[in-house]
Amino acid sequence: MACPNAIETYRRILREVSEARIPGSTEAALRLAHALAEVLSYCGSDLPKLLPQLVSEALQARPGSQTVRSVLHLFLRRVLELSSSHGASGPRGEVVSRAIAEVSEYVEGVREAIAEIGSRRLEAGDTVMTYSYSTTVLRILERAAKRGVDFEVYVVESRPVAEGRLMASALGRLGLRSTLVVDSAVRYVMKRVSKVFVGAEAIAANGAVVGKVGTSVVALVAKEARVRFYVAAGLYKFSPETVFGDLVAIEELEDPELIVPRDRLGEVAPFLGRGIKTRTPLYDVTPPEYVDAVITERGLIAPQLVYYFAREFLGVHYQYVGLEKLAEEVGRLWS
Amino acid sequence: MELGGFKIPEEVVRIREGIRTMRIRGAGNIARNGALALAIAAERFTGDDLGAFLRYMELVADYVRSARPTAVSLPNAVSYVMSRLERSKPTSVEDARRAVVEASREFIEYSENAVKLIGELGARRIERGDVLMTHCHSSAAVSVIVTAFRQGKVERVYVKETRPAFQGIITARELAKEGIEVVLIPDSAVRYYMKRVDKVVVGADTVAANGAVVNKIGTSVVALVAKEARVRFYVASETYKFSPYTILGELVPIEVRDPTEVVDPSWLAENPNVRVFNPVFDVTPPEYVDAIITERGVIPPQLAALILIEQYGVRLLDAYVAHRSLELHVDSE
Repeated sequence: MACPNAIETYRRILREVSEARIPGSTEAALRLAHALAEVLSYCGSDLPKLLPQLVSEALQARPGSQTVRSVLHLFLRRVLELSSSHGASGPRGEVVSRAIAEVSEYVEGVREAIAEIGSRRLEAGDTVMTYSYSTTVLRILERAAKRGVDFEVYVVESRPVAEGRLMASALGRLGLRSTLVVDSAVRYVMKRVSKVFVGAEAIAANGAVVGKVGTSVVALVAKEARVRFYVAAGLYKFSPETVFGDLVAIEELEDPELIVPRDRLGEVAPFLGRGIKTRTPLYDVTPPEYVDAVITERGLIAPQLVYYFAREFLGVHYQYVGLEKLAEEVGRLWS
Repeated sequence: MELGGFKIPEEVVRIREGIRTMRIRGAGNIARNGALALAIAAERFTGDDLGAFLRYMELVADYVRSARPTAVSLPNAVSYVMSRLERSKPTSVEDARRAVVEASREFIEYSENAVKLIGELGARRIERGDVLMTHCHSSAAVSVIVTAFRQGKVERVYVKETRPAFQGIITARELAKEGIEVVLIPDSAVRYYMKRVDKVVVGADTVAANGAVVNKIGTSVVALVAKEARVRFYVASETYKFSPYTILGELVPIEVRDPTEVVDPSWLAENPNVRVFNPVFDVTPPEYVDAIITERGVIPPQLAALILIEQYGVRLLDAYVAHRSLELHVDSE
């Protein structure tokens, strides 16, 4: 593979990410990191400019996703550490592939730990509800089923992208039966539900959870019905910027086709831009008081405690280096 | 057609069939046709035996009421006319006939004006610069929003798509045609946008005797989200949508529709482990409803039973008869 091809692949994945076509934030982040590894392996003298550029494109593609930020951060940090122990003339391909392998392995370990801890929360006779698509939640349910726990699953469609359908399909492939409902039916069926499990895009300093739009609706409806609401999230989803007061940016997409089905576009077309606008936020924010616990690789903790545990993950003497700055440093390595 | 020794006029049979086969649709339309059928029946009665006329009208009333078990506007229209017949204390067939025909005309006129009246009363609740939100499509809710907009009060309306059938598109078009700024949003974004909303206005399919509102699936979610954000939640509904059966303790039946309204049949075939559950309505508890805007005024939801008794003269016995004939009717078909 040549450098231009690697860049093209990376940008194609970025587009898929920004159009929310890759379900699951960790999946999206890992695929981006792999594509970035290819760029690092095949591109040379233009890296000092190229790398920061590509990284900032990633941040723009999914501004609210701490997962993308953290996974790329982990990867570049590891590249820097490995190459410094090798010296500047070290074998580049080897450093990059080792770094990406380590990051994948790390994320995998986190998911495994969460699956193990989360699955213990399921009891025989439970009716679980889940929203959108999360590989971590999928694993929790798979693990519990393997352990012989008998439970039912309601999957909420999660408009506008309808990741819920992917979730239901994925559960089906694992041999788990589920019931799919539209977002509007969430309160109707909540009375039958005993526990809700969802994934997250980011967790803020105060424990607020940034998730797929509609997550906060499910949380509120669960609260009203006194149903437990669990968020499955690795500590790498903690957003360090929020400690310094930054708000997590939530993008609103304007594309009418996200909401209006193709065969009905004609009905709104005459009014688009002249009366009717369509707006689709990608994420929403669930306040910490609606979250019973966050299931992390370090255990089941209160959302307000995520900050404390994440500090440990980030390093005791952690000084936050922005992802863009990190990209500049790595870019200079092999220029 | 013969019923209990009386001949039922052809036109009455035709109207009942129209309602039964759903050729006649919409709560208001069904109610008006029900009232019309009673007037026709009264006019076609021959003879001067008052007792016979009253027995005949009771039979016709039961017959019309039983056309569609779930349409609450129909028994209300029938009760409206029949209670006025009773209150008129007729001394001759002529008296009685006049009472029925007048009550029927009164009901038809007033129900035709109901949506307009609701618009006018509801608009008084809207203040200058208000941002509104609505769910599904309701003529009564649209009437409130449009009337308020014409008074220069409405800034913008968030319209929810309303899966699975996307009735939000119909609402968005109707409002945009009036020149109202519409933002069409997915159902999942209801809490995200609620902070920017001042008031929610929705319609109702049925209002139960305790003030619980049965309406398109998702309405109760909007109500809860509004409550959390301390946003006022109004239901615009004609009083003939108040359910007399619920006074009897009956639950409002919630229809569950075909999964293919939610996903394609091919998707279902590819996913044998997935079942789709597609309820059409949900129930919003009265404590989430700030007021019901009816053509008779803006009322607290808990007053619904009183409206049924005062406006439609619903008595337990009526409701019982309606309920019993409904069962007989269902059995016989």
